[in-house]
Amino acid sequence: MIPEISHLLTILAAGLFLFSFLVILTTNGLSVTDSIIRLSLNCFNAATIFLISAFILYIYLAVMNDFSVKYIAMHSNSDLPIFYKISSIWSSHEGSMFLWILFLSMWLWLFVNRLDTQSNLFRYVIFFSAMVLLFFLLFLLVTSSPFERILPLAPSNGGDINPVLQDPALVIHPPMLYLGYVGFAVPFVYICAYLAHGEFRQGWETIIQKWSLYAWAFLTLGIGLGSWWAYYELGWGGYWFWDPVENVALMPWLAATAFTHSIHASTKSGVLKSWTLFLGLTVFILSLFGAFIVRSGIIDSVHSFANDPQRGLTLLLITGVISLISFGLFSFRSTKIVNSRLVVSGSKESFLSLNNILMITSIFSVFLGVIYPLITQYFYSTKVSIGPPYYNTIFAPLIFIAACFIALSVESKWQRKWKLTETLSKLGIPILISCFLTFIVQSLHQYSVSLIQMIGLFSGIFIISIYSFKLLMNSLNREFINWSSAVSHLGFGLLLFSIACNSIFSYEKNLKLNVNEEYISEQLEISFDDLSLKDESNHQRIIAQINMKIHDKTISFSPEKRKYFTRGQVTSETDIEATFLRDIYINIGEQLDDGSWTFRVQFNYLIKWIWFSVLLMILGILIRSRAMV
Amino acid sequence: MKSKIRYIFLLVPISIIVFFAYVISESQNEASQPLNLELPEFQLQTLDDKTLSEEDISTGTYLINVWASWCITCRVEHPFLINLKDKGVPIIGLNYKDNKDDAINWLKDFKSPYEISLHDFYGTFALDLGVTGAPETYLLKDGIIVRRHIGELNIEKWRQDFAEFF
Repeated sequence: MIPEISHLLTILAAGLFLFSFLVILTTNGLSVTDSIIRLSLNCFNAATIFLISAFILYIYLAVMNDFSVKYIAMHSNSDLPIFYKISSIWSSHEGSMFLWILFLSMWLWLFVNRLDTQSNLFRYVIFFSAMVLLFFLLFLLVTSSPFERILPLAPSNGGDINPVLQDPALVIHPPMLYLGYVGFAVPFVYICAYLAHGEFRQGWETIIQKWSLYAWAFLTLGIGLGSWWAYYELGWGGYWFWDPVENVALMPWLAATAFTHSIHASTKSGVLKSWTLFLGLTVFILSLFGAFIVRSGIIDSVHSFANDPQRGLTLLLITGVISLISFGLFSFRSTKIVNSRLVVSGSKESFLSLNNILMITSIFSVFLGVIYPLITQYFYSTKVSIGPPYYNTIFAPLIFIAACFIALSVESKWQRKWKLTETLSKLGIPILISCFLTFIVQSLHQYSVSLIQMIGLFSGIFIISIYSFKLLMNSLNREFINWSSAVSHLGFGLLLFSIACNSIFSYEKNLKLNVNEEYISEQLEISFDDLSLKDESNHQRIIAQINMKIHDKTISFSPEKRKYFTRGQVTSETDIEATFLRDIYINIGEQLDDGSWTFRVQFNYLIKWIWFSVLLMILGILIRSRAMV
Repeated sequence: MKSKIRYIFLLVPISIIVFFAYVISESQNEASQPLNLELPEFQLQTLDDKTLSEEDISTGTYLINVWASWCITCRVEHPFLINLKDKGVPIIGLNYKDNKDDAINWLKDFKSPYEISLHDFYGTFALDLGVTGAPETYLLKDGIIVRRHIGELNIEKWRQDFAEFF
């Protein structure tokens, strides 16, 4: 009965969103009374509450092991601890779509209830919010219902969650990511409303700026968590793989970063108005595009959900309609927007604009990397794969140029032309320091460093030194310090620096060892001492005992392989020895025909710094959004 | 000039949508392309302790359905297979990486849609066949595999790819 109640509540929510949408649509052009606005708002609120209740009931079903619900039976199991029972809801397509829509409705609900109902944009905001929610609820109910039942005979136990998803990171990585993706629905609906209303007198930036910053923080955290999970649980041995699904998360992130910068320029100096509107729309459209790529299964990726072209086509249709409506509004209305000022060349906003262009360029490059394999597959019938070399070659120069513009923007002023000599004299010391440090760091490495790595290293150090220098000078002169910007950009510089160092210094060894065999080289000694088998409740463990002697210190490792009984799936549990600068990472591979085992030993430098710098960037944004209360 | 530029904002999304619509329709065609593979050699015990090899099913048309008692989608697919059996479609089960007792009980509890069911505990025959998981369905015509479907077999898929053979 409870599954039906949850299902019914979801249908009712869709009905109410439809009603709320129609109320505004049918009264368009009439002089709208307060009561009509109230009516549509009340419907909207009720719909959201229904949706939240439906989801809470669904969580209850998962916790109570109701395996008559097909989705729960397929993805959960009565032996799982309670938080994995809950997180199994978002371990596959239907349930994660449900969560995605829930978050979408909650963001928009919070937003419309904080808006002034007297505002002449209010009805448009309700209209677009209800429209987007309606589309996705219909998609959920018609093509991907998580409420389907197996009746009359329900299975006694569920099919279990995929073992690699039995991890604390699964509990938080998708929710954070979704909160980020759909958070950009707030600026999206507001911009649509602004364009639809068509009177461009009032300022709109301040209303959505804070929301955008929160969404940006969630998106960044979500991506960061995903990267961390891939490293320590999935045994991939790295932080970023240019997997199509990572790329479709990176595109909205880049657009969102451009958007948060340009909205800042727009409030500060009244420039880039229509450009900012365009970016705001683009972020959300790219998020939808990401959902389409992941859920249609047209691109092979680790994250792909079940391949169902019908679903893909429906999502494409929804994304298409939403983007045509929004970009249509933009292209026909934005010509009326008059920027209060033009960009002064050499001013702070001019460098921000240039970096905006660079970010769009990088989005386009990533987009090309994602679709190029499809182009060759369907138009030339050859399969190609686009990997790190493509992205590294494209990103390194873009980041270098971006670092230079960041430097110039730090030392220039809003709406004022720069004075070349003055700016350069301020940058002189940071440039010298960065060149010197880059030289020092790269000479620590015994082999040659590639140009791309050098560029990355220099850019990172350059950004760090500019901001450190600026902080130092401003505090000495008792001038205003923009902590939010400084912390975020120091985070970004540190990110580039860590990535560059990681790529320069890290190395790996692939070994083939028998039990009691040793590997000895100049730098290290590795011995494979023991192999033991252990039976657990739902899996068998094969544990290797490895001892490593490095710099006269002996470290023991016990990497594992786990074989799960129910699905026959095999996973690896990596063993990591972490120090401040470096992780030693051992992964056990396959057993070969002669009885020996393969091992992958990696020395990853500064890898934890990467996630730390992501946290710094988020911290900077939080400082900014707190200041805006 | 400015009024012309604005159409770009529409043209770009439209061309992207058209591109992906094309890709999806193409990938759908690809999925249902006919196969022409010889059935790999095998010799396996059935769940009722007989022995079966590829020669025993080298003539005639059969469905080979990969299933397991741990597989929930197989439970979902089960009523449709019973339906096919009632229409006279011969289905050979390939019980995949499953405990024999569990499998026999499963067939007792839910009624067996299979003529016979092979017991492939180690998944060796399944490996030769190219099985990726359960459920999966193969269509065997005179010793040649002509169709393959990954995932739950349902009425749409049946009409589209399999029905013509029966």
